[in-house]
Parts: sequence; structure tokens; C-alpha cells
Amino acid sequence: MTTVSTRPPATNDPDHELIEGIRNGGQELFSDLVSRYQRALYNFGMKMCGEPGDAEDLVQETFLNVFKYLPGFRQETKFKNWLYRIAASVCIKKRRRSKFAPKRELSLEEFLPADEAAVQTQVPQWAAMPLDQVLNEELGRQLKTAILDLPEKYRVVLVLRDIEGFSTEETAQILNLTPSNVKVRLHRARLFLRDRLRGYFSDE
Amino acid sequence: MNEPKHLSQRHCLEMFARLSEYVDHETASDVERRIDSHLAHCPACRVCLATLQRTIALCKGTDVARLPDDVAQRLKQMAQKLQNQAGAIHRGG
Repeated sequence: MTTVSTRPPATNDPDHELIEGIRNGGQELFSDLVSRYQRALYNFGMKMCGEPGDAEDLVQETFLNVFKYLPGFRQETKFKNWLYRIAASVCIKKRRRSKFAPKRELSLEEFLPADEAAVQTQVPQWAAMPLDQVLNEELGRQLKTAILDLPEKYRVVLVLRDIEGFSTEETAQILNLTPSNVKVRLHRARLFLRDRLRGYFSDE
Repeated sequence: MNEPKHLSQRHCLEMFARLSEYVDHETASDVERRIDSHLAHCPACRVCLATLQRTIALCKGTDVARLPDDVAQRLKQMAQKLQNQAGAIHRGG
């Protein structure tokens, strides 16, 4: 978790003061750090693992690692990005141990229409009507399942970019990928979900 | 009227490969202009764009998992335990 870098410390980090406080002997502030990020990390865990027990394990293991490695955190990145780097790595290690981890590549070609007859020229209703009329509990469940069905390397990119709201650059930094790799994975993940949504609405 | 043969055309394929970048405003300005002008003439690519944009919006609209109270309690206990251990080491010098 400690990397040697020549990057200057990240400026404008909203966690800077709290982190410095903990590093300078204010261990009692660690609870504040946990309170600050526990909800977001739990949500990340639920989106990545789908099971409450696994999400709790992910949050616990992440904070244990944060506590252990915080003295070596060089602040060349925002704390939040470093935190998610740890969380993503905990999650990936956890899934590697699981025999159920789906592992496959998604290619762009598999999302192309099979033939000219499959090409739509009218925007379907689910994409045309107001968003609040489309999104309901049932669709939310379908979407969560579809996200969990994504191979992990695509899922983690989609969750960080489209759910947690990290930028392409930040996601690349968190996952140690190039920005173009993040873009490729994100696009394929979105196309995968789009196909699942299309399937869901055509069955309705 | 003859519709362009969707996705057998070079511009449709370029559009399809770069659609997310375009939606995220991460394409170079010349590529963005090329895609804009292609979209103006290709209804099938406009459908691709609309369905992808809707997929992204639905993803962003998924509800946030609520942290159960018992989990919050266990995390609080864990943090306190770690603080106490570190405090004891610190005091022990």
C-alpha cells in the first residue's frame, strides 16, 4: 500500500486535517474517519459483492488496512482515492478466493446488432420517457443483479465511475490502470447493462 | 427512403466504439464534431446514444445501500479497539 512517488502531496484534500491529526498521535480521531466513510464503503461493498456479510467484511478489512498503512500514506493522492484503492484491492482478493467469481472478457463486437433487422431507428419508450417514470423498485433490483453479473474487472470500473462518481483519471489511479483502459472497460460495462435493460423491457 | 446501412458503415462503428467517451465529454474536439455531424444524419446511432444515456442515468439513480445499525455499531467498536491498542503502544513509548 505504500508506494514510492515523487508526486507532491494532493492539495485541497478535504480529509487532510483529519489524516494529519491521526498521524500526529490523535488516534481517537480514527473513529471520525470511520464514521465519515463507513456508509460510502458499505454501499461500494454492496454494489461489488451483493451480500450484506461480504460488504461488512469489505468495510472492516479496508479500515484495518487503512489503520495499518496510514503512517506510510504519502498524500500524493487524495485520501478518498487511496481508501478506495485499498477497498478495491480487498474486494479483488476476496473474489479471487471465491470459486464463483465470473471471469470473462467482454468484447465490443458482442454488443453490435446481429444484423440489419436488429437495428432500431426509434428510441424505445424506456429511454424516451421521463426517468422517474422508468426507475422503480423492480427495475432497481434488475439493475443490481445485472451489475453483479458483470465480470469483476468491468464491474469495479462501472461502480467507481457511474455510482461512486470518480473521474476517469481518479479511477485509473485507484485501479492502477491507464485512463484509456478505464474508458474501454466502462464502455463495455455500460453496453452490457444496456443489453440487459433492453432484454428486461422487451420481456415486459 | 434508403436508411444508411447501420454499423456496416465506418462512421457508425467509430460512433459505437466511442459513445461513452462522447457522453462523458472526453473525446477530442475534432472527434466530437465528427460524431455530432454523424448523429444528425443517422437515426440508428441516435437510438444507440439515447439508450446508452438512459442506462447511465439509471445506474446513477440506483439507491444507496443503507448501513445497518448493527454493522455501524461493530465498526465503531473496531475503531475504538484499534485506537486503544495504538494508544497503549504510544504510552508505552
